[in-house]
Amino acid sequence: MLEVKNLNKSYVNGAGRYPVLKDVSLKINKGEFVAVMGPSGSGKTTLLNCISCFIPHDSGSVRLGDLELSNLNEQKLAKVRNQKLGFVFQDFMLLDGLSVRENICLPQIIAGKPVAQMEAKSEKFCQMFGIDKIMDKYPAEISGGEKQRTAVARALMNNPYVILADEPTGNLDSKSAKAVIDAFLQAKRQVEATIFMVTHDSYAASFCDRVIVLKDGKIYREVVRRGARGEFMNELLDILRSLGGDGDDLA
Amino acid sequence: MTLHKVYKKLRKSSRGQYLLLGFCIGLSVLLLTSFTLMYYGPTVQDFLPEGGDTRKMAMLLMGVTVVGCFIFTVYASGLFFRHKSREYGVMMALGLKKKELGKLLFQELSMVTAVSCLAGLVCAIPVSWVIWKIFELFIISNDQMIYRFGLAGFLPGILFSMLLALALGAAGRRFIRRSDIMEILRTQQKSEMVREIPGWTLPLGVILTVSGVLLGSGLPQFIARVLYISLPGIFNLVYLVSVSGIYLILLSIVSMNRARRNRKKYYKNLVSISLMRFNARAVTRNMCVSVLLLFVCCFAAFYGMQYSLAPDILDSQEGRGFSMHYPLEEKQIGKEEIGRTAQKYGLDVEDYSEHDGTNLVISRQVLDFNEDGTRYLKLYKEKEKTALFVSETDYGVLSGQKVSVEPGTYQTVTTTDYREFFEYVDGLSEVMNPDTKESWQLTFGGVLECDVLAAMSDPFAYVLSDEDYRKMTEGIGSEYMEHLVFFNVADINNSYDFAMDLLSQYVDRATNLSNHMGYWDIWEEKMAVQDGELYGYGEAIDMSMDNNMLLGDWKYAPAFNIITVQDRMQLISVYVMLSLYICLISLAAIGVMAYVRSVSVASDNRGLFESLKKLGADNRYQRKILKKQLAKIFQYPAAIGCGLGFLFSFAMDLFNDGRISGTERQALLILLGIILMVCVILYGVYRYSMRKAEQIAGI
Repeated sequence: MLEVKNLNKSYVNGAGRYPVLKDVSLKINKGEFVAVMGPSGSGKTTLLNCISCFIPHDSGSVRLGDLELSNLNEQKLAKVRNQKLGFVFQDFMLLDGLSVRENICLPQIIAGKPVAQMEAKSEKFCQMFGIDKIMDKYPAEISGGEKQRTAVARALMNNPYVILADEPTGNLDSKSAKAVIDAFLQAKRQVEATIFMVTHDSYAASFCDRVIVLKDGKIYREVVRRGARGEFMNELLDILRSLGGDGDDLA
Repeated sequence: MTLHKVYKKLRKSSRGQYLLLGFCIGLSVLLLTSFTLMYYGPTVQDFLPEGGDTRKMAMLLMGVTVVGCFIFTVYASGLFFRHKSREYGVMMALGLKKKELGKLLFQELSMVTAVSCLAGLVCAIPVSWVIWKIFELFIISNDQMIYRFGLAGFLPGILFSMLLALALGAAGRRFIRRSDIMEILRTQQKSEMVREIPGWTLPLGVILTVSGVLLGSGLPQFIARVLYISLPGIFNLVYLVSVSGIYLILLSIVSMNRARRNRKKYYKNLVSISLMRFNARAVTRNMCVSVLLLFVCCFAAFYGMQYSLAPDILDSQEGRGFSMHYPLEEKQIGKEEIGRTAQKYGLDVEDYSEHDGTNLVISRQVLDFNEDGTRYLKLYKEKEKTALFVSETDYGVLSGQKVSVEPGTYQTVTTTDYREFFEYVDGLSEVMNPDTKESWQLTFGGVLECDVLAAMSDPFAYVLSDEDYRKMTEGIGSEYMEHLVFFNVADINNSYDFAMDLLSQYVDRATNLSNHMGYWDIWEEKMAVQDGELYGYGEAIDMSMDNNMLLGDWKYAPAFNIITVQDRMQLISVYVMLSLYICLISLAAIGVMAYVRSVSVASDNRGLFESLKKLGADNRYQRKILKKQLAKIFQYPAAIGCGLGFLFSFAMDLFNDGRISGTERQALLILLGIILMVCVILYGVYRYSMRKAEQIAGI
C-alpha cells in the first residue's frame, strides 16, 4: 500500500546542512494501523510531511499503491492528496466557517462528487464516530475530541489508501484521545482504512498493529503487537526508556 | 453542497475580513479621488498659478499621500491573506489544486477591488462636496468660490484604482505561489527574529534624523549666502538621512530591551517587548509609514496656515488703497472719472494725488547664477534695464511720507520689511537718460518703504533729490514716462463694486501703449531689437475683463487693494483647503493603518493571551500587555512624526531668511495646536482599537 525506500531529507540552515531522515525504508500494508514514535527531533513529523509531499525529500522513493509520489507535479499531487491520502492534523484544521457536516464533505466537494452520495457518506461516518448529533454545529461550538473525530471522518470521505495522522491526540485530554483512537480503530474495522500515525503518546500507539521507532533520523526498532494491548504498551515504554527520551516522550 | 457554496459560506463567515479589505481599498480611492476632483476642478485650477510653488507642493504632498494610501491598503491585504492562509492550506491539503485556489482568490480579489474602487470613486463626489462645504463655513467667504469638480479628477482616482488592483493581484499571486502547504498552514504562527540591536542605534537614529532635517533645509541657504554656491536639486536626497534615522529610532524602540540597565523594568516589560521583537521588521516598517504620514499631515497643515496668516493689506496704515501707473501718453481715467464713479457707489474719494515718474536706465550690482546654475555670482549689470524714478517732492505727495534726499544720492523704495537675497537695495550705482545718453554716478542714501510704488517697478523704484530728478530727466521722451495716480476711498471695505467698475473703465481705455506683459522693459526691448535678438517679453496680452490672469501679468495693472484682497482671499482659501485636505487624508490613512495593526496584534497573539491566562494572568495583566503594544503603535509614531513636522517647519522658516517673523511664529504656535488636535484624534482611534483588540484577544 505505502512503501518508503531509502528516504533522505536534510534541512539547510545558513552554511550548515542537518540530516533529519537517513535512508529510512518502511512498508505499510492495507488495513494496517501503524504508529511512528521517537524522541523529539528524531524525524517523525518530517517523515510524515515527506510522505504526504508537503515538503520535498532529497532522495529515495515514496510509493503509494502503484504510484511513485516523488516525481509528481503540483497538479497530480493535489489529486493524490484528494483521492488517495487522508489527513488528520494535531490542531484539527477544520474550517471555522463550515459546519461539521460541511467540513466532512469538503474532500468530496473538491472532487466534485454528487451531493446525495457525499451527504449519505458523511452521515454514515458521523454515526460511526458518534458525532451525528453535532453535524450542524460549527467547530467553535464543539469539543476538541469532537473536532478530531470530525477530522477523521473528513479524512475517510474519499476512501483514501492511507490516512496520515500527525499527533492526532496531541491536543486532547485522555478521554477525547481514546475517542479519536476508537474512531481510527472503527475505520480500520469497518472500512479497512490504513492508518499511519505519528505520535508521542505510547497509550495511543499501543492500539496500533505495529510501531516504528525512529532515532536520529533512522529506524531504531520496529515492534509488532502480538499480545494484549497492555503488554504492548509496556514493551513500547521500555523501548522509549532505552532511547533516553524525556518524560514527554514517555507519556 | 458544491464548491461554489463552500466558498460562499467561507466568505460569509469571514465577512469582517472582506469588509476590512474593501473598506481600506474604498477609503484610499475615496480620499484620493475626492481630493483630485476638487484639485482638478475649474475653481481651484483657475486660482493656482501655472508652475507655482503651491502646485508643486500640492503634487508633492499628494504623492506622499498616494504612497501612504497605497501602503496601508496593501498592508490591509496582507492581513486578509494571513486570514485566508489557513483556509487555503486546509483546502490544498485536502487536494484542491493551487490553480483552482488562485482562480478563486483572483475572482474574490477582483470583486472586492472592483466594488470598493467603484464605491470610492462614486462616493468621492459627495464627499468632496461635503468637505468643500465644511471648509466654506470656516475659510471661504466669497461667492465666486463655488464648488465645481473636474472630471479630470477621476483620472488619478481610476489610475490609482488600477495600480491598487495590480498590487493586490501581485500580492495574491505571491501568496498562492508560496512554496508549500506547510508554509501556508503555519503562516499564522510565523515570526521573524531580529538580530540584537546595539545600544548606539537610538542615539545614532536621533542624530541622523535631526541632521537630515537641518542639513536639508539649512545647508543650501548657508552655502548660498556664504560661499555663493547653489547646491543641485539632488542634494534634497539628504532628507533620506532623516528617513534612515527614523527607521533606526523605531527599530531600537521596537526591539531593544536590555536587562543590564533596569532589571525590574526589563522583567516587567518582558512579554510586551518579546511580542514586538518577533514582528520587529513589520512593526518598524509600519511605524515608519505612520511617521512619514504624520509628518505630511503636520507640514501640510503648517503650509496652509502660513498663507492664511499673511498680514491684511486693507488694515495697512501705509500707502493708498488705490494706485495706477500707465504710460504718460495713454488717455486713462482721471480724477473726474474716479470721482464720478465713486459717487455712483456712494463713496468719497480721499487723499487723491497724481504725478509723473520717469524710467531711467540703471547700472547695478545683482546676484545671479552662473551658466550651469551651480554658483551664485555677484554681477555688475551695466545699462541693463530701466527703473522708475520720482523726485523727493513727488514721492512725499504720493506716499504721504516727507523725505529729504541728498543730491548725488538715491533712496530705494522697497515693500514693507523687504528681505530678498538676489537684489541689493544698495546695488544701483549709475543712471542714464535713455534719450540723451547722459550718465550720472549715484550713491546709496537709504531705504524707503512704500508697497504700492515699489510694486510698480522692477527691481525697485528710486527717489532722487528734486534737483537731480530735474537734471537727469531733462530732454527725455514721453515714452519713458509714466503717470502715477494714488488715492483712497472713505469706506474701503465696501469699495469692491466701485473698484471693479473702475477697473473695467481702466481696461476699456487701455490701448496698445499699455499692452505689455508684466516683465516687459522698454530698454531691454530696444537693446534686443538693436542686436537683432528676439525679445521674450515683447508679446501682447489679452487686455479684457475676461482674462483671469490680467492683474497678475500686466505691466500697467492698477493695484486696487480691495480686489487684491478678494483675489487673495480666494487664493488663500484654495491653498488652505488643499493643505488641510492633504492633512485630513494623511490623518485618515494613519488612523486606518494603526487600527489595522492593532487588530492584527490582537489576532496574531490570541494564542499568547490564552497561554497567559493558563499561566494565571488575570484580565488586568493581559489588558496591560495589550495596552502597551497598542500604545507603542500610536505613541511613538505620533511623537516622532509630529516632532519632525514641527522641526522641519521651524527649520524651513528659520533658514528661509534667517529669522522667524511674527506670522511664522503665529503659524508655528497654531501648528502646535494642530499637533495637539492630531494627538487627540489618534487617542480616540487608540481607544476604539483597544476595545476591538480586547474583544479579539478574548480579554
